[in-house]
Amino acid sequence: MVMLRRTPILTLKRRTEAVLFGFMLVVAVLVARLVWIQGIESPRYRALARQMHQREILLPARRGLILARDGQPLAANVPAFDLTANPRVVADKRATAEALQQIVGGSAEEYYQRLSRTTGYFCWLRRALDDALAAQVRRRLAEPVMAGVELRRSTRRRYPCGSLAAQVTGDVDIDNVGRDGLEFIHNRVLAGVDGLLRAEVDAAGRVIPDTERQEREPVDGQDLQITLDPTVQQFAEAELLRVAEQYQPEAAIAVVMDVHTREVLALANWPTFDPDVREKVPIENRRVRAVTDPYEPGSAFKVFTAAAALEEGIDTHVYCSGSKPVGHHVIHCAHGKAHGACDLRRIVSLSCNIAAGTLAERLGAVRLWKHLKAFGLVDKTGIELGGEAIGWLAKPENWRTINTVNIGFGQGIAVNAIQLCNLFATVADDGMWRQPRVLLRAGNQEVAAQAPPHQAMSPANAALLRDCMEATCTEGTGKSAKIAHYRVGGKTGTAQIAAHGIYVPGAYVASFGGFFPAHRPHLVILVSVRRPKGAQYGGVVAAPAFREIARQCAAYLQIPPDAPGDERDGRDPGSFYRWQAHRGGSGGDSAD
Amino acid sequence: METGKRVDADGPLVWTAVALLLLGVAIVLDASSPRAGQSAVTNHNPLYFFWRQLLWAGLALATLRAAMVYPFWRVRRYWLAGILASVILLALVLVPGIGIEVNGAKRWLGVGPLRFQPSEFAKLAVVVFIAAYSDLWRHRIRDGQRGFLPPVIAMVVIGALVAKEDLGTAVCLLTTGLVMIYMAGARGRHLAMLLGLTGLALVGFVLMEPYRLDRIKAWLDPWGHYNGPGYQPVHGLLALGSGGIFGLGIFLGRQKHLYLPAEHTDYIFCTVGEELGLIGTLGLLVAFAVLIIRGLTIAQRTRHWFGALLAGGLTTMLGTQALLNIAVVTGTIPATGVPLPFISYGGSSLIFTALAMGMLLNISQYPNLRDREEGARREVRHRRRGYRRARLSRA
Ligand SMILES: [Zn+2]
Repeated sequence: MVMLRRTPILTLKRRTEAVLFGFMLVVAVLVARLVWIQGIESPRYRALARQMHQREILLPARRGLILARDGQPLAANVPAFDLTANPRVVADKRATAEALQQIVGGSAEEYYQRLSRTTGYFCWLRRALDDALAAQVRRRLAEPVMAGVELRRSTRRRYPCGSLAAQVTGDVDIDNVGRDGLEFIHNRVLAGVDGLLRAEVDAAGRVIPDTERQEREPVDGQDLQITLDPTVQQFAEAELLRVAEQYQPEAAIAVVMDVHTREVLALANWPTFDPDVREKVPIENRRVRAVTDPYEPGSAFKVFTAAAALEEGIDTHVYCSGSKPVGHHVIHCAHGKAHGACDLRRIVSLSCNIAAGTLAERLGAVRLWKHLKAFGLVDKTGIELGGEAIGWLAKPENWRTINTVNIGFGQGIAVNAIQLCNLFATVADDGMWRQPRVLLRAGNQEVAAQAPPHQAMSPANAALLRDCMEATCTEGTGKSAKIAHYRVGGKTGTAQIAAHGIYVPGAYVASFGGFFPAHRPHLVILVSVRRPKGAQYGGVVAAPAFREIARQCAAYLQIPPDAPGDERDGRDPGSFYRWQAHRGGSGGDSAD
Repeated sequence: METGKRVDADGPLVWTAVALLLLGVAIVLDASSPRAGQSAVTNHNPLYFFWRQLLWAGLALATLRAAMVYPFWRVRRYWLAGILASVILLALVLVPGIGIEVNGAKRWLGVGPLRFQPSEFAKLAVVVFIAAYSDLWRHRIRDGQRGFLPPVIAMVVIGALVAKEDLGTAVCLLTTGLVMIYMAGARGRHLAMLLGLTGLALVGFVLMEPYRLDRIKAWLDPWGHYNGPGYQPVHGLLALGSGGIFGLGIFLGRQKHLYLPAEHTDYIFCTVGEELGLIGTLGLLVAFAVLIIRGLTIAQRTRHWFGALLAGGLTTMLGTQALLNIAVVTGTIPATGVPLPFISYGGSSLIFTALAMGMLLNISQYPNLRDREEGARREVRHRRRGYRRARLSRA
C-alpha cells in the first residue's frame, strides 16, 4: 500500500478527484448565491429596477381655442416641433452645436451651452420650430453628428387676429401655460388634462419598444367662446388708435356692451401688443385696463347722482352760482361758469358740479351708499376676466359732507370702466342691473351669469334720466357724440387724476359714456382716455370716438334708425344750428 | 507507439460544448442588439455583434473539430516553444505602439481588424508546459529546487506579464497552474508556500492599480459607489434579481438597454439571468459543471500521464474561467474582467476555448494509450526521440 500511495499516477488520480470536489464546492456556493439573488432577494431588485426604467410620459391634451362670438379663432394651435437632445449620446458637442447652427440658425455657442449644462439624459435645444425648419432638421437627423438630437412633435399657440383683443385673450408661455388674460384665468379649462403613458425606457431615456401602457387618456381642453365681436372690436381699436395719434394719451379704453344681455362686444385697450411676438411688453400694456384699473369717473358719475335723486324723489332744482362752500372747502363749476337755475335735465346735460354736489348733499351718505350698492358701483361686476379691481370707499357713516358732495360729481370715488359702462347700461335697460359678461360658452356649455339681475331703479325714472342724457348730446356737453338719424344719450366726464392724495395739474381722464338708439337702447359704449395731450374734455376727446364707434356699429349691426331725418351729427357742428334754426330750442356748452 | 484502443469522443462533453457554442451566439444576439442598434460605432445595426459572433462560432467549430482529431501527444513537443512565444507576445503587448489598448487596458495585438489576445494563448501554453514538464520529470516534482521551482517560475513570469493589464486572466492562469502542479504530485509544504506567495503577489497587483482597490470597495458596498465602480455590479445584480425564478422572458430584459455595461461580454451571464431567471442561470451553471465533471473524469481515466494532466489542466482552465466570471457578476467576489467561455462576445476567447475543448475531446478518445512507464523499453525509445530537444536545452 505504501508503494501504491507513492505511485505518481495514483496520486494524480486521487488529486484529480480532490480538484473535482473543490470545483463542486465552488459550484455549490454559486448555486446558493444565485438562489439568494434570484429567489430570495428578487422582489427587492425587481422593484428597484422598475423604479429605474419606468417613466411616466405625458400625452399633451389639445389646448382649447378661444373663439370670438362669430366662431372666429382668436387663439389657435398650430403644429410645431421641439428640438431636444440626449447629451449623453451626443459624441462631439461642439460639432453638433455647429451643425445645428447651420441647419436651424441660432447660436452654436448657445446650443453648446445647453448640451453641456446637464449631465442628464435630456435638454431642450430649441422650441416651437415651424414645419419648414423641422423638415430641414429631419432631413439631416440621420447624420452621425446629429446622434442624440431628437425632434419632438408639439404645438404652438397662435393668435390669428394679431393684437386684436390681445389683453383679453392674453398669451401663453413657452410651455403653453397661460400667463395673461383669458389664457391665464381660464387656463385649467383651456388646458384640459394631459394623458399619461407609462413606459419603460432605456438608460438614454428612449422608450423600449412594446413597453408602453396607456394609463390615462388625455382630456382635451374646452374651447372658450367669448362675447367679443371681432368687427366691433376692430372698430373700437381703430378708433382708439386714432385718438391716440391725435392726443398722445397715456392710455385709452373703449367698451362696447349689449344693453340687454350685457355681453361685451368690444373691449379695447390702448396701448396694445402682439401676443405672437414674444418680446418684452410692459406689464401695464398686457392688462385689461378696463377691468384692472379703477379711476375717478368725474362728471360721468353725475348719471348716478341723478338716478339716486330720482329714485329718492327729492327736489332736483338747484341754483348754481358758480361756487359753493362746503365746510372748509369751496366747490366750483368748470371754468368758473354759473349755470343759474338748474333742473335735472340741465344738471346732466350741462354737467353742473354745484348742482350734482348739492343733490348728493341732499341725499346724504347713507342713501347714496344704498344706491351705489344697487348700481353695483362698490362691488366687483363679476365679469369673467382676471384681476378685476374696484376702488376703495369708506363706510358711509365715516363720510364727511365734502366726501358726499364730491361723490355727487364723481370725485373721491373710483370705479373701473366696466362698472361705469354697466351703470350706463342699467339706465339704458330700464333700470335693470345685470352682470356684464365676456364668456359665452365653455366647451359645449353656455356660461350663465353668476349674479341674478335686479331692478336698480324704476323704469320710469330710467326713462326720465335717459331723456336728460339725450339732452347732453343735443344741447349739452356731448354734442360731438351725436350721430345722424339716431337718438343718442350719454354723459361726458373730465376727471382730474389724483396721485398721492392731490390732483395732478393738467392730468385728466376724458370720458364719454352713452347709449343709442335712445328710443330703445341697443348698445352702450364707453370711451375713456387717460392723460390726453392738447385737450382734456370728455366732450372733445372721448365723445368723437364714441360717435365713430357708434356709427360703424349701427351700420354693421344693422340697428334701425330711431330718428330718421334728424340730421344733427357731431361730425358737423353746423348741423346743430341748422336744426335749431329749423325747430327752435336752447343751445348749451360744448365743454364738460 | 501503442495507441491503445481508440474510443469515441466523450459524448456528454461534445454535446455540452456544441450546445454552449450555439447558445452563446443566440445569447449574444439577444444581449447585444439594443446597444448595437443605438450606437454609431456599430452603424446602428442591431445585428452587428451577432454576425461577427456567428462568424467566430463557425471558426470555433472548425477549430474544435480540427483539435479533436489532432493527436494530443504531438502537442507535447511545443512545450518550450509555446512558453517562449507567450513571453515574447505578452512583452510585445506592453510595448507602446504595438499593443492595442481598448477601454484603458492593453491586451491586444493585431493588424487592422484582426485582433488577438496573447493572454488567451499564454494560458494554453502554460497548461501544455506544465503537463509536458511533469511528464518528463515525473518524480522530481517532489524535489523543491529541481522539480517544483521551474514550472512555478514559468507560471509566475507569464502570470506577472498578464496580470499587469488583465488581473482576471492572470488569476485564471495561476489557479490553473497551481491545480496542475498539485495534481502532478507536488509536496503540500511547497504548495502551501506557493499559495501564500501567490496571495501576496495578488495583493501587490491590487495595490498597484488604484482602480482595483476601488473595485474591492465597490464589491463591499456597491450601492455606495453607484456613481463609480459600483455601477456595473449594481446593474448586474439588478439584472439577475429582476429575473427572479423564471425570468422576464426571452428578449424582454431591461438592463441590456444601455443600463448594464458589458451586457454582451463579461456580464452576459446577467442578461441570461434577467431573461431566463434562476432556471436559465442554473442551467448554464449545470452545463459548466458537466464540462468540469466530464473533463476531470477524462483526466482520471486517461492512463497516459501527459494526457491526464493536460486534460486536468484544460478542464481547470475553462472551469476556473467560467466560475470566476459567474462569481464576479453575482457579486460573490470583487469585479475583475474575464469573459464567460463559449457565451461572451469575442473572437479570441471563443477560438481558444474551442481549441482547449477540442484537445480535451481528443484526449477522451485515448483512455488506454500506454504511458511510457508502463510501456518500458518501447517507451524509452520513444522518449529519446520525443524529448531530445528538452534534454539538450537542459544540458
Ligand atoms: Zn353749475
